[in-house]
Amino acid sequence: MLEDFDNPDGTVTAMIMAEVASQIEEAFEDSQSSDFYNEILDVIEATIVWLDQETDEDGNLDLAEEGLGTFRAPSGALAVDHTCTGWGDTETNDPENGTLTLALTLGGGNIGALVWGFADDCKYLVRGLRASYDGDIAVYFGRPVAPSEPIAELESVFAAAGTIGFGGVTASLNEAFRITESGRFDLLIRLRDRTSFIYFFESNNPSVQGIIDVTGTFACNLERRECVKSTGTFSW
Amino acid sequence: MRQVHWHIFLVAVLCAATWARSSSARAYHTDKIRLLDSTAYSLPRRDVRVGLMKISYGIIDQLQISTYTMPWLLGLILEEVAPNLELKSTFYDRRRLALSASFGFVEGAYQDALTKTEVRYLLFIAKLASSVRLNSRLRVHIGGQYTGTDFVGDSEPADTDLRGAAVVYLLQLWGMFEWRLSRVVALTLTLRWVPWASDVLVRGEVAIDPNTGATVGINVEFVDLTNAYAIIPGFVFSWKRANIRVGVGYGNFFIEGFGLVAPASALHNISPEFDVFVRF
Repeated sequence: MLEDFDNPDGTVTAMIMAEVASQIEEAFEDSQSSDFYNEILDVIEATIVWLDQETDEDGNLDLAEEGLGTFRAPSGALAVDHTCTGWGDTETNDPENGTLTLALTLGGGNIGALVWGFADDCKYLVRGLRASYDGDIAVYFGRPVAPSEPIAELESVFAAAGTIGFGGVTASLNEAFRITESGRFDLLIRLRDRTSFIYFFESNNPSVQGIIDVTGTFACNLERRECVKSTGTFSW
Repeated sequence: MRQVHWHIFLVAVLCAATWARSSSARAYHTDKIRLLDSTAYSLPRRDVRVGLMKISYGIIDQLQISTYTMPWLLGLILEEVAPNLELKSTFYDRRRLALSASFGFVEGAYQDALTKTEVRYLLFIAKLASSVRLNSRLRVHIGGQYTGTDFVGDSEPADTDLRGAAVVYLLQLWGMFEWRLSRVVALTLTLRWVPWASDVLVRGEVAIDPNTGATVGINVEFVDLTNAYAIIPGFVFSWKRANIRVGVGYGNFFIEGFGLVAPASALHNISPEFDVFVRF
């Protein structure tokens, strides 16, 4: 999958876009409205902040006060169990809110590039609206992350397979997307012939959209149902 | 609780003394009175051994029960005794060959004065040993031992948000050559080697925020004990009742019985062995 993000091998045509355009719109809408990946990132960030707080200036994980000792450039793993914030007006630590369980590796004091786990009917609010996610999750940062790094600003690849809920509507989700350092949202689209391409949305202006396929990068617009390549424009 | 353990210890010693009075006295190196430590041999039925390091009783000819004294004594000093037990079965003992299997545990706790954390520990030990009588004077003993050690720290909730544990596993092999110079003196040469030792795995449960907890597992390259070894020449003196085992060698310090190993630097590469005991 990571290879697909780096080197998409599909060739997008008008016929293909006619087939996948609605899927792209739905996936983007679901991801943006439910904001589930930010819920996951928040938990990873809280864990990293905790690690940073427990790491001294020499890079040692200092758990001496807890009776475990100080670990120089520790290697190991973290199993994080988060109770989701729920749909109430105030956050509660209620198992009814669902849980998010994540596994992180530690190597040389850094968080491993891959974080994975699952959400068990994780409920939370997005702009006052009820959202939920239930399913598997994997997040890839491309490289190990130091405890002091702001992960929200790092490029990250998300893979999710489960059920997403927003505003009372649920939908199945099986997608992979990348959020680049500039905030661009890259959605990986897999085609029937097992090739793939990326449909991207610029974060500051989602109307700025485009495709990255084996032929290169070119602009598209889902509303206008057209793409502009160097060789010409096609629509569907 | 401490008083209960102390009473148990006293009862064990009294029982040993009682058994001692009811049995006939036995000692000297003979074909029936054989070395017990680092061998496949165990005490004959109703025989007792009371020593500085160990108290043992032969339940039947093929089964011996023992308790190590040091954990009890150290436990009394640390105000938390450490119950421990070992069962050793010489399941095969015919002609020149004897084979044994042993299983044991040590369980205890101590209070870390600095962190006020109570650390509980559990050692579980499994051994296999074989002894071969080459002739009336010479014997060879070889064996292997697996020791698992589990430390659990339980901090007071008011002081900290962490509860942790550490685990380490050790595999030890040994060989001992025994040469009976007389009925009183036996010369021994013991080789011990650790072909594999796990990293120390520290586990802890932490609170990251009010809604998030985590179990932390950290591999600690504390001291690499793989390939730790010791070569220990020694003597076992056996008189009518009393026995002394003494040896000084080179290498790591092996705490016999528990299968634990101290880094060589801890005792400047001196590896001692010592025990005084009586057998009845």
